[in-house]
Amino acid sequence: MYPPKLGYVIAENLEEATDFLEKHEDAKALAGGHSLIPMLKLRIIRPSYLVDIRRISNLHFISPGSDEIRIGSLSTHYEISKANIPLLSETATKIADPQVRNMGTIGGVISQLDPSADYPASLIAMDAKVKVKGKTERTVSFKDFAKDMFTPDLNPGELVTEIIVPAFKDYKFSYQKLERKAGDYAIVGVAVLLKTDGESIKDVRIGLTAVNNTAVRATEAENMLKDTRISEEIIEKASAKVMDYANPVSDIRGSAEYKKKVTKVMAKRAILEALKR
Amino acid sequence: MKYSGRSIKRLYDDKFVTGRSSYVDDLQVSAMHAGFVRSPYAHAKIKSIDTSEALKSPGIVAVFTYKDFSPLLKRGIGIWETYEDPKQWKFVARKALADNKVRFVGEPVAIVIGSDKYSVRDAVDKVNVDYERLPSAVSMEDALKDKVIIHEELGTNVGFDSTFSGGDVEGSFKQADKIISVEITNNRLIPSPMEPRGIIASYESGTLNVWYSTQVPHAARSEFSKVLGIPSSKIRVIMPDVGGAFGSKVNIMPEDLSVVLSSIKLGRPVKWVATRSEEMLASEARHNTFKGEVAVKSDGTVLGIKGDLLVDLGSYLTYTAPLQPAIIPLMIPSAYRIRSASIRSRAIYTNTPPITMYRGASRPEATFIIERIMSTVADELKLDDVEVREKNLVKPDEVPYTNVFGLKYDSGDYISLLRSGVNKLGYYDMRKYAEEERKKGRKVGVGMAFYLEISGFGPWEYGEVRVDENGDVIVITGGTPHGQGTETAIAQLVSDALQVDISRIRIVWGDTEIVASSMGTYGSRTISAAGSAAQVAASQVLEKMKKVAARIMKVDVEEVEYREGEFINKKDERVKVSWDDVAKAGYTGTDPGIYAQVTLQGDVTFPYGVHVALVEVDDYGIVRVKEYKAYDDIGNVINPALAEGQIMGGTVQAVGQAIYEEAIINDDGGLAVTYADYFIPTPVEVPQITSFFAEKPHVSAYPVGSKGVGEAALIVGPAAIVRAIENAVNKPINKTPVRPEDLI
Ligand SMILES: Cc1cc2nc3c(=O)[nH]c(=O)nc-3n(C[C@H](O)[C@H](O)[C@H](O)COP(=O)(O)OP(=O)(O)OC[C@H]3O[C@@H](n4cnc5c(N)ncnc54)[C@H](O)[C@@H]3O)c2cc1C
Ligand SMILES: Cc1cc2nc3c(=O)[nH]c(=O)nc-3n(C[C@H](O)[C@H](O)[C@H](O)COP(=O)(O)OP(=O)(O)OC[C@H]3O[C@@H](n4cnc5c(N)ncnc54)[C@H](O)[C@@H]3O)c2cc1C
Repeated sequence: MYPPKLGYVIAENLEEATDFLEKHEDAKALAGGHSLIPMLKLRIIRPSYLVDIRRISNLHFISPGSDEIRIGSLSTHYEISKANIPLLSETATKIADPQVRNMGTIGGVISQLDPSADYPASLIAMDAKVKVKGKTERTVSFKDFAKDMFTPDLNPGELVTEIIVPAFKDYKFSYQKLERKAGDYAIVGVAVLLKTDGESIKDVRIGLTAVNNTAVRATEAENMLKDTRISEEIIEKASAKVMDYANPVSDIRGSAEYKKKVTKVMAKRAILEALKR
Repeated sequence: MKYSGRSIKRLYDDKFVTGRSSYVDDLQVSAMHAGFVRSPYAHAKIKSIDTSEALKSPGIVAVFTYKDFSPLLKRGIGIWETYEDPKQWKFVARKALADNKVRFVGEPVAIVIGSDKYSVRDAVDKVNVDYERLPSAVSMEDALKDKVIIHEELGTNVGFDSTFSGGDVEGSFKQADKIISVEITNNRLIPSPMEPRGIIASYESGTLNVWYSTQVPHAARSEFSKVLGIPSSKIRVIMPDVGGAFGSKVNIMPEDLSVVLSSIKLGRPVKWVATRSEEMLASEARHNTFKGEVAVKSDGTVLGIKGDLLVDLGSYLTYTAPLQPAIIPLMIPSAYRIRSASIRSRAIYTNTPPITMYRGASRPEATFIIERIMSTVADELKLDDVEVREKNLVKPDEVPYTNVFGLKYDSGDYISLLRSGVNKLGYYDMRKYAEEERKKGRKVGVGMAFYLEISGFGPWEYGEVRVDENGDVIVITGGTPHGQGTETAIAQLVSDALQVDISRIRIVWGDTEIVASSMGTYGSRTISAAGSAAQVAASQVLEKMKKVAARIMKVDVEEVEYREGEFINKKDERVKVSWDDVAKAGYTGTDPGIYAQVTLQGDVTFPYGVHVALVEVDDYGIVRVKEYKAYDDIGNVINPALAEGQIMGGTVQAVGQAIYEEAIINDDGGLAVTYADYFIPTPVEVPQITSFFAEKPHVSAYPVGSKGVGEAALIVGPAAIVRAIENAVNKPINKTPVRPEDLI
């Protein structure tokens, strides 16, 4: 597989990168390269330049605060998996294989917006915010940022600089991913955050990936669980409700019908796993 | 000390484990690079091809199409006439590039030659082909209707149609207590060697040199000779290290031929190494369906089988594809005493990538069919899997046994092997364990399957042994090992025959100017056929050495005995000469030279065995094969570690075929998968593998007495695994691969 001819630029700092990207609209930022390079080799994309942003050190950090955690866009899946961030660290451990986790970045994932990517289920459940910088800086909710599959809310010359998630102290959580074999993309991924008070559920958030164009929150299912006593029956009902939020397409990983069925089973498992923590 | 029968460490692995092996792509030949313009359509007329833009592209020296090559061709690429009968086939020999029509998505239409791979790839996009799309026949069902004809010259899409009959089928079905219907399918696969196809061709002063990732350098030379009209004596084919093949590299592909033709036209070396996507298009395999009926007695005796076998060919007949439809039916009776059968076997052209052979070629298909039949019979009659098989197996006193289609099984005791195999593998304990686990709510299942396969294909193989003046030994073999390690086993056999240390032996293969003649490595034949030829050549060399020793000791040759490096005068054991002195003397005096060349004839042999799999299916229908156990009678085992390695490799591919790998072709005829979704097992998916070989093997007629093991686990594995899944989910399954959605 031989990519088309392209130029390669190493950006020393953020301004240099955004300036260059703004001037060359068909240039692309290169982070971990684990989505970009395969597309280049298959000639699905033909950028004029690759702007290597990996040396921009102020995009490479994870800073935990008492209310929220700020994650630099160049943080790799591996680094996130080791950072003790509720839900998100667990999600990172389930992405692909060690090679991909060592190279791939969270900024790359949300700028790529593959419908089967893992983080989006968690980010949507967490009400994550995305900080974007070009000529100016703005912060958008992840929900709005993920406009459609492969379509982030990014203007020419803009880069994702950080992802901000609430600290979710005292929350239990679980990310459950169904895959056909080790290292594969998700057939369905379910992220659950829960806050309990004794036997009842005080707050719950459920995010779904791989079964819609973009990640969604199963709000009605959340409402069914909120302020109820934990019971086998209500979890069963809520899991069935989660299934209503899945509109999958048939593909090699399974028929649409199969994916809907397993969404329910995975949702139940994610809720039960979260409750166990 | 004997080497044979011991797990001697592989001889030439240093270069592989240190990354210093050289595959075609690693060879330093200053060659131009080739790339292919490929059809985006499954079926279309080529109205015109405009190469002018591509030719203007930087670094490009030529673009050739069918028209450029056709004057150089005596004929297209034929079939493997050693084993395949062209008279049984309707086919059009495939040309180097598409003529007036394309017949599958990815078919090469033009070859672009340039100074580097990147310029070539860019120029490929600049070749303008004007197509007129035609309706296509992608599925076998559609193609069978003959509404769309893929090769007009043939007037039909049916390339092969032959009914294999034996015994009184009608009578059996009348006598039957029950008639059971079956439908059994193996979907399309892609064998995936690490090294893709690759070739470098250089034509100079009437001589053609080809460095080729192949399993069959001599067959390739002969085919190039016939296609190009260049005498074989002026063609040299060299096989460098080959990074896996699994049968696919017996095929001579149009891309290979186009590279050779380009080198002839340009008078300079040309090189092509397939990209992974090209490799996936060029080596597709399997895809067959059997629909039939089985006549049984209520005690489980199978009286007869009748049915229809459809085998996909893809759009062209490849060098090896004729094997499957001709051998699958013959092997369906397996080791069972089935005395009547009638199977109509048809092979169908479809607008899909052509089918080639893949590890086991025809025996995995036949074994899956007959083992599904046996398991279905067991289920329908509520009998035990082992019992049904035992009831039907050929008895030891009936062997050699001629099956209902006339195939003669050489040696074996199938019933004893089944019994000791089931014991040794702990089958019933495993079944009990699975049942206990199921009571606890887990979906654990255990399945077994039996196989009898055909290997050791003749008609002959070549072996040469040379002892030089220092007493070191060079063995030239017609076998073409490409990862299996058979060179080590051959060295063991020759070491034993000559009673010299294995470090003094060097094995050489894979060059048509070094090896006088050769069939090659495929069909689990190498240790039987090539090993025997080398062993016989070694014993001839030893006779020559005895003559030399007799001359030195001034005794009759009958009086010389050879023992562990010494030639001894039988009458006076104090008089002896060493191996090294005899070797030196062999190059002085009269009749110098110590060599022997042997072209040893041989015929097929029939290994057999029983394998057991343990699986667990989760709530999502995802299957894990947890344990896999094999018990095989493969004749004499020359190197147990190598043999076990073959069982392991075959098991991994069997897991792939049973539950992961599926080369899905979309409705437009395009291959719908890449390695992102063509699921090959990783180490995580590999089960715990245990392999045993029969303690008292039944030998083949080959001098070394081995039968072959290269394909066994992939032949029987899918049947054992599918049976285990059925046991786990209590639901009938009759195809590979089993998808998660089939199970919940
Ligand atoms: C074999 C394999 C298996 C995989 N399996 C999974 C899986 O199971 N789950 C999963 O979630 N993912 C999986 N991935 C994808 C992987 O996580 C990628 O790393 C990720 O999608 C992209 O991140 P990256 O840093 O590699 O981005 P790149 O490939 O470098 O870039 C991707 C895109 O985002 C743009 N971009 C990158 N960074 C920024 C930024 N800061 N601002 C704006 N635009 C930016 C690039 O220009 C490009 O368009 C897999 C990838 C491979 C190769
Ligand atoms: C014990 C054993 C048993 C075997 N049995 C069989 C058998 O039964 N049948 C059979 O057909 N084969 C068999 N093989 C061969 C085996 O399939 C191949 O030799 C092996 O897969 C090639 O891989 P490698 O690591 O040796 O070669 P490598 O030299 O690592 O690579 C092979 C090819 O891949 C390319 N490559 C390697 N790494 C990369 C990379 N990172 N990126 C891009 N390209 C890369 C190389 O350039 C080369 O073209 C066996 C091998 C062994 C060791």
